[in-house]
Amino acid sequence: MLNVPIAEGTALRIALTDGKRDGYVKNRAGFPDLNSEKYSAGRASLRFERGGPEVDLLRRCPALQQFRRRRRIDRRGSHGFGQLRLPARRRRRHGSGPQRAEGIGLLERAHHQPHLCQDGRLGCLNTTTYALSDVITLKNILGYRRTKTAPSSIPTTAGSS
Amino acid sequence: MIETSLPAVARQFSEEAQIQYNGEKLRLIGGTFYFDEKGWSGGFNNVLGSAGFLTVLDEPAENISKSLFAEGNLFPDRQVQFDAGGTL
Repeated sequence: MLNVPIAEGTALRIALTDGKRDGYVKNRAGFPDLNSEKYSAGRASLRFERGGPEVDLLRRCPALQQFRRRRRIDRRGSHGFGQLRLPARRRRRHGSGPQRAEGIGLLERAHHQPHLCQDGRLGCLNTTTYALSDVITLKNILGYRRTKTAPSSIPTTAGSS
Repeated sequence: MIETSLPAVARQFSEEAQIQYNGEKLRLIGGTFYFDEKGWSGGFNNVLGSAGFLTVLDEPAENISKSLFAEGNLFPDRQVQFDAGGTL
C-alpha cells in the first residue's frame, strides 16, 4: 500500500494485493489439485478533505478497484461432490457421503483436466462524509461494479474414478 | 467427452446513505441501503459430442435489495455497554 500526499487536504492511495492458494481437493491423477486459486486485486483512491476540527468537514474518497481470480475447479461445478470418492479404507471408517467427507477434510478425486474458471470484477466507489456538527455526521456511499465469470471451454474425458 | 462453458456477467449498483450521532455516552447510526443487480448466466453442457446431449443455459436475472437500518450503543459507564440494532 502506498500513500502519497498531493496537496493540502488531498492524498492518493494505491493498494495492491496478490496471492495464491493450493487446492484442497487432492487430485490423484497427478494434475493440479482442485479448488486451487490465484488472485490479484488493486485499488486506487483519492481523498479530498476540506475544513478542520472547528469548521464543517467535507471529505470525499472516490476509488477505482479491480479484482481478478483464476480457479481450477471440477468441470461440473465448484466442488464436484457428486463424483467424490474416498480411499476404501477411509470410506469404511467415515462413510462415503460427500457431506461426511467434507466435514473431515479428506476430499480426493482423480481429474485429468481441471476446469479453469476466471472471475473478474471492476468497480468504482465514492464515499462522501460531511460533518454537520461535532457529533452529527452524514455519510453517502455510492458504488458500481461489473462482474464477469468466464470459464474456458475445455473438452474433458469422463474418466474420473 | 464432456464440453462445458458457463459464463456469467452482472452489473451491480448500490447506494447507502447514513446519519451518525457520536455523543459522549450514546452513539447512533441509521440509514438506507439500495442494491440493484442485473445479470445473465448462460453457456452450455455438451456430452458425447454432436451425437450426444446438449443443454443450453440462458438465464437472465435481476436482484433488488432495499433496507432501512439503525444501531445504537449506550455507554452508561466505562464497564457497561448496551447495543441494539435492527434492519427492515
